[in-house]
Amino acid sequence: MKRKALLIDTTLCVGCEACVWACKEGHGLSDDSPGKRNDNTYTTVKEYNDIYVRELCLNCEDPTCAAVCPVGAFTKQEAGAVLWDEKKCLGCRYCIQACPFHIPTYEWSSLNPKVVKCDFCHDLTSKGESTRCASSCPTGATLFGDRDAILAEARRRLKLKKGAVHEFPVHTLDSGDTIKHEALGYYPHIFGETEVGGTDVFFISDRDIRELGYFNNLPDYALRHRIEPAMGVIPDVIVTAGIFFYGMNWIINRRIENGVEPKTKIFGKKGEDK
Amino acid sequence: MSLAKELYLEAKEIVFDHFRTPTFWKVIFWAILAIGSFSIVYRFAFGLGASTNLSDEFPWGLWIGFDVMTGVGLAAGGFTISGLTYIFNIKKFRPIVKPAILTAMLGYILVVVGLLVDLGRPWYIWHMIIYWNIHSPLFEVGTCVLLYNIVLILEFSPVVFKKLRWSKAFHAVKKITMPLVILGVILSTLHQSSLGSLFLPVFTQMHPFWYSPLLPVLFYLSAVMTAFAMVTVESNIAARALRKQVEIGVLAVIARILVVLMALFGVIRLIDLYHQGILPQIFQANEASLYFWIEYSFMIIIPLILLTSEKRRWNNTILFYAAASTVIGFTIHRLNVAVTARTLINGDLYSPSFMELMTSVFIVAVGMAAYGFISKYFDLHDESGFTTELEEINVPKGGNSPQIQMAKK
Ligand code: SF4
Ligand code: SF4
Ligand code: SF4
Repeated sequence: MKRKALLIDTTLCVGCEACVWACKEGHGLSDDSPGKRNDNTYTTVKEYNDIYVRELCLNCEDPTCAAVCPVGAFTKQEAGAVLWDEKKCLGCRYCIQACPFHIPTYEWSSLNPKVVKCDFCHDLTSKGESTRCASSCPTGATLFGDRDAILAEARRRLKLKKGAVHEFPVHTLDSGDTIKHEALGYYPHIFGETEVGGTDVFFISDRDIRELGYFNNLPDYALRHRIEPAMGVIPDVIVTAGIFFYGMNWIINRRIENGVEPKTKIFGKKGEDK
Repeated sequence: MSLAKELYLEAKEIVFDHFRTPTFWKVIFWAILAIGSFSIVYRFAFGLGASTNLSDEFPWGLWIGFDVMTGVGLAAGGFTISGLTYIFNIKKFRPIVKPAILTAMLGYILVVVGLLVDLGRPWYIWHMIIYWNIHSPLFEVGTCVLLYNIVLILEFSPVVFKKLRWSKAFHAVKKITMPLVILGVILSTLHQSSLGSLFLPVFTQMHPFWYSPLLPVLFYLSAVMTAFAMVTVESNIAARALRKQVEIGVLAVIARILVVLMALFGVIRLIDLYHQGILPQIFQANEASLYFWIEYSFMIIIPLILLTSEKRRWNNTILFYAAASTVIGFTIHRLNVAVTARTLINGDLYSPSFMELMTSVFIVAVGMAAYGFISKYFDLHDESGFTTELEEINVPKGGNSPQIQMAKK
């Protein structure tokens, strides 16, 4: 199975929220009014001045949520989904604290709360089928396909001449359906290609989407590399500290036995020590 | 009279004594206990959403920031004092080692209690034991806290065995004192620093004053530093409760260590800001620098000024206020890292709900009450080992462990 991905092209998005409702329906979520992601809404469409940007789990290639979860409740699937395992989670909410895109949400009102987020429609994508949001998107603003092919499509679009009319595939790359649309011109950056080690959801836009405030200033490497230097020295600390303290204790006790008092006098007034 | 009955009567006497003379503080204590237990019951009956101000923007609040992150730091006295006393064999600290271990033990037990209240599914806490993600700092913290709890209980157990006159158990534990203490120091080093590592991946969501790649080092240093301040504060409170003199000779030594550590931490904190290129920003007038200076003054500047003169270090009142200031500053520091740093960046507001607050106050009050009871019921200050008759029967001749040698003296 090839890795799948989504391409979100804000220049094509009309803010109709078809993706939001298809996602809700497909996952059996209640149809209360969205607007904010919560335990009933995996995805929303946010308006920034004159463009619409979708919010959903980016299903990172090297996910932060999976790196920080103490019980390893998140796993990256072959088709792309980052899935949460209800059987493992103990509810520490570190994943919610650490996700660089503020994605996972919590069932705060529940007595047995779940961590909730977009599951990349794993039931479909694991069979190679398109996600619900891509299938339902009428303009091709959310497009599904193999990850490398989707990246190639994104690169093709960045080069499109501004103002000319071009063909854009709809739903999936190989669906055969296309719409004709005037290219608005693109800012030359594919968000998600390198950010935090790469994601399986890409954004392209007519402006630098990183400046919208929603996406922080993110490095090109997976965030777990920030933890690794600290975690990596743990075995060294155990061995070094063990030898050091045993050694110190041995030396000091030998000195006491031999009648050479350790110079505890450095602590306290002269003649204070017993 | 049987031993069991004797022990029971003694415990009863201490508890009855508590009720005999109701004072203002005792009434407050019972009020805290009542409201606190109500809050905890409410949290389990109606969920986190109903009882706290936590949200998807603010998944960690007071319970993590105070009960866990500050609590673990304040309980660091257990490993620092026991390390100095046993590993480095500094006899001077003998009188305070048992109280320090007791504080640490109670502190860590209460950290686990606080964590159980905070976790969404506390009944799965044992999942940490069977599902390992060894790359997660939280897994590291969880495992170490669990193991260190066992170590602390063992380190404290001789006091209990002595009371129960279980001489075999007493000597068995005494024999492994040194490995236990060293294990305790290693486990503490690991999780005190890993508490800081928790925030390493979260750097995009933290104000730079409180994020640093050095967070594990800073957390470890500040915990060790505050441990000495805590010992000073707690010796004073205990001395007052037990109507004893404070060990001013020991505390003056501790104050000197505290001065060195505060200077060290204070400088490293500034160097760290300098290397991140934001040192000048602390002199700009804004919300963030205000929080920084409150924290830095309480934690470093005030106690450092108070403690630099030898004369003032031998004045118990000054010692107490300086140490208390460090403890307060440390608490502010931890809360700044856990809560304020996120507030300042994301603009999401969080302030704890009344129930969150009362739960934390409840946990502190329970800890203090437990300390009060245990320090009256058990003998924390007698380091001489077992009662003489038993000792003669049980201490092996020629045992070369320093503890047993000491016990024989
Ligand atoms: S976007 Fe957040 S929740 Fe989704 S995979 Fe990445 S780190 Fe995990
Ligand atoms: S809340 Fe659950 S899934 Fe998230 S990090 Fe904690 S244990 Fe893992
Ligand atoms: S991929 Fe599936 S779960 Fe995720 S937002 Fe789209 S429809 Fe919803």
